[in-house]
Amino acid sequence: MRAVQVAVVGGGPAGLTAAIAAARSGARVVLLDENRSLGGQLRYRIAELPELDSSSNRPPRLAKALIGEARDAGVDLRPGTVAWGLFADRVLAVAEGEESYHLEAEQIILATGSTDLPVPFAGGSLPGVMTSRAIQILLHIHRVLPGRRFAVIGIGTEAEEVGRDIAAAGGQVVVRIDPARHGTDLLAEGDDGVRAVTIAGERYDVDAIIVAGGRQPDAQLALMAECDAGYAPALGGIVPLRDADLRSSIPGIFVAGDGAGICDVATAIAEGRLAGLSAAATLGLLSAETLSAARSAYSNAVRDRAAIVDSLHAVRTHV
Amino acid sequence: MRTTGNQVPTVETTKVNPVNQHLICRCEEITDDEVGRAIHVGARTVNDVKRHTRAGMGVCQGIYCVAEIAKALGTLAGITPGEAGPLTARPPVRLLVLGALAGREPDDPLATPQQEAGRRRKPG
Repeated sequence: MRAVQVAVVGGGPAGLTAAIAAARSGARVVLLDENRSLGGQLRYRIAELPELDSSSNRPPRLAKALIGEARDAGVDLRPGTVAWGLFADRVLAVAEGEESYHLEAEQIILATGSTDLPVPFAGGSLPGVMTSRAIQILLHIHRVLPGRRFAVIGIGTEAEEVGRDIAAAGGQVVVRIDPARHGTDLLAEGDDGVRAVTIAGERYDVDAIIVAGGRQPDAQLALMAECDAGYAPALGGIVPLRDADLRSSIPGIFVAGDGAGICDVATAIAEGRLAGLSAAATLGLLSAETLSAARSAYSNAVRDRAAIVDSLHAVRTHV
Repeated sequence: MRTTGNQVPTVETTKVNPVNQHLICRCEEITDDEVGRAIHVGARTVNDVKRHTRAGMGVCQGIYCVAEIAKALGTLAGITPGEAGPLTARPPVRLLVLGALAGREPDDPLATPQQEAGRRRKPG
C-alpha cells in the first residue's frame, strides 16, 4: 500500500488539466493512464477542435502542451498503468506491468473518459467492422489504413470527423448509413472479413464498416465505489451525481470530463481544472475565495451542462 | 430493439458467426433473441438480463452491450434507462495479466526506476 495526496485516473484533457491544477496548488499528484502514451482522445484525433481557439485547437499539439505542463508542475505521470478497482476509503487497485498494488489517495479524481456505443446489425461481428475511434487509433497512432472503400454508419459530427480522416488518409467513403433509418435493414457480408454491405436492398462493395454510434460515459470505477448516479440522455447515460465542486456523493472522490457525461474537449478541460482545484481546496491548499472564483468560472463557461448536472436525481444502481 | 424478423435477408449461419442475428454481447455471444427471451420471462433490469443470459459477464464487463440491453428493456417492457440501471461494476474493470494479481506487492510502487535501482544496489 502506498499513499498519495491526489490520484488522478485518466490522462486525457480532463485528467491532465485536473492534475496540473492540483499540483500547481501544492498537492502531491500521481496520474494513472492505462495507455502507453498520455493524452486520451487527443492522441488519435487530428481534426481541429471547433470548441477551442486557434492557440489550442490541434489535438496532438494540445496533448503535448498539457503533458509538458503536468511534468513541469511535478505530477508523477504513470502511463501504462491500469486502475482496475476502487474500494472503500479511496483505495485504488492498480496494475503496472506485471505488478499490482493498492494506492490509497486522500483525494481521487476520476477522469476515465468514454467508450464507443455499438450499432448491432446482421454481420456486425465480422472482422472489418470497427468503431470510429478504433479506426482513428489505427490511422493516427498505428498509421494503418484498414482498406480502400468504407461504409460509415452514423450521422453527426463524429461520423463527419471520421469520414474526413478516412479521406485524408487516402480512403473512400462509398456509403453513409443513418442507423435510425436503416438499422434494421442492414447486412454485412463476407467470409473471413467484410466484403460488402447491403442497405435497403442496395449492395456496396466495401473493405470495412465504421460504426460511429456515439459514446457513453465510462463510470465503472465511480459505480464500484458506490457513488450515487443519475440518468440523463444529454450526458449519454448513467453518470455519477456531483455537487457544484464536481465532488461525487462519496467524500474525496471527484469526477470530471466525459466520464461524468459526454462533452467536448473545452468542457473536459473546464471540469478538470475545477476538479483539481476542488481537490486541492479539500486538502486545505486553496482558499475558499479562490475555489469560489473557480466554481463561478466553471458554471459560467458550461452553463447548460451545470444545469443538467444540478437537476440529476439518484437511480437504483445495485439491483 | 432491432429484431431480425423477416426484414433482414438470411445468410448462411456458421457456429462462430451467427450473422443472421444481431449479437448484443460479443464477449459471451448473446443475441438479441436471447435478451428478448430473458425480458419475456421477467428480467426487468440490465443486471437481471446479465444473470439470465451472461450478457455483460465477458471480458469487456458490459461496456459493449449494456446500452443495447437497456434499449431492449425499454422497447419490450417499457422500462426507462434509469430503472434498467447500470450493470453492477466489479473488479477488475480492465483485463489483467494473472501475474499482476498473483505477484507480491512492490515495496514502494511509486518509486522511480532510479530509486529502485539504487535500493537494489544496497547490500542486505
